[in-house]
Amino acid sequence: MPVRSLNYTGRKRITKEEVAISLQEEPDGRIIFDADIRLRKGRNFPDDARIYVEAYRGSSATWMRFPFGTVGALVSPDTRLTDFDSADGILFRVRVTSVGAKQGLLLGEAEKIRPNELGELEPARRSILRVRSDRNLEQQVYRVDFEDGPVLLVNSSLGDWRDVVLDRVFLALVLPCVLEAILVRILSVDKYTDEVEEENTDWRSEWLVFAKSLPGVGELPNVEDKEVVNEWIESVVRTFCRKQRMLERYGEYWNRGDS
Amino acid sequence: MKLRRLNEKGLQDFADFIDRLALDPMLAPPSGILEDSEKSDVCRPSVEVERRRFSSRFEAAAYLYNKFIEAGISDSDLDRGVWAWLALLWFDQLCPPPGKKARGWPGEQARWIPTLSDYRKHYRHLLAGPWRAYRFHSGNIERARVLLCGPLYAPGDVSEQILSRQELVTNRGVVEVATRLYYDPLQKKLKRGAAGKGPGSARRYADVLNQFDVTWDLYEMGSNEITTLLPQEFDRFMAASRT
Repeated sequence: MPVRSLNYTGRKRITKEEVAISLQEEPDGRIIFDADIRLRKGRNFPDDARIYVEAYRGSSATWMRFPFGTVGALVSPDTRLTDFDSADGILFRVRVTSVGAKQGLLLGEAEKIRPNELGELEPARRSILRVRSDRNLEQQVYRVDFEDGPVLLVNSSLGDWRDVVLDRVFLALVLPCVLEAILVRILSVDKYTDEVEEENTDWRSEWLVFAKSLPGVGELPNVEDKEVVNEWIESVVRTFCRKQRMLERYGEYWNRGDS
Repeated sequence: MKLRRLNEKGLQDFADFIDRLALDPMLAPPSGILEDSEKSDVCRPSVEVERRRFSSRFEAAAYLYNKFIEAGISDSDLDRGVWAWLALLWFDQLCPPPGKKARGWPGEQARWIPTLSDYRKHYRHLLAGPWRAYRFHSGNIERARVLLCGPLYAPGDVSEQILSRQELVTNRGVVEVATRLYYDPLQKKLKRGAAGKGPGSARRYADVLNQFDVTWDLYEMGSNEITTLLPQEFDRFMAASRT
């Protein structure tokens, strides 16, 4: 992944308020997107600078690029996402690029834009855990993928992942393990504790802010002390289960013998 | 023989065979399922494919590209069952010849049965990978020579670096520069050192492109513009391409 914190060329960060992207499904099942680009006044991009919207899933995976004209004359291209087999997990970036002497120089960029869900008019309430179905899990029911932030992959053979993750048995047995796996990745593997605050959009910060917000969890542990880290993660998972009443949910299934 | 696709039963048989192959390299492939109507189905539109030999990834990709175009087969027709069937049909060519070793062979299932929803794995298929590269650059296929040289059973590190990222493999300038840097048109093979980890290698090329991507929109740049950005470590490969 490129290091995005260096900026020697005055590249401007386009905010997510300047770009709204929504997904729609056509009658034939194909997915298209609509991008509403309203760059703030005072950006001072040249009128002939080109605007591109890129759709991608995973940092190096499926990717498509769409020309939206120039800053001075926006156009609406064909936005069918033909290379994507589903709408799950698609993110967008917007790039404003220079023409002329410095052809290709990046003048501005917005990254990791989440689209509104299919058919939604207002921006979706953002869930911290991204979920999508996956056709390649063979006999695995689920897997957590960390390629571009954690994504819970649910075996597509089971049908709509929304039904699977709302199942009380799945919720009670799987979600605590997913939470634990994510925290282990952040604290034990990445040893990440930088700028853990709400404004930080790094997925690791978002998860730590979430964990710290659980009642009684307290401050982050020293990542160099494995034992303390393990205890902290355990306390987060325990609190999460208590808050979500996981035992009760599972008990309803277990005692009735159905799901 | 008419092109077919393995159905779920056929795919399971082929996957089991690949698993067992790691333990018993002499195991014979389950070729019977190629025309077994319980394990495979005829493709529509119909297309005839031959049992034949290919001298390189390039030749195989060109053959498939032209066959599919002539028959009017679209991307959506090319599911994992079709690619797995083709891998089984030409299984002997996807294996290293006797006496030749191929690192990690037979490798992961994705080399034989593609995982279409995950591009990072799809390109690893020994036939679908070269075909996709050919299709992306069919307008000027010479540009993509570096991705398609070498035998089918050994895709190699250079093509891995480019093919593994859709935004690189579809970028004409990036691929053209890679061919200029690492492909020897006289020997019709990679230049020495291209596949290593050293300065100027293909792995470094991918790293440097990653860094450029922060500042430049590489898709907006031609091969000459990308070349001028490259640091000195690539000079030895560029110089070799001029001689």
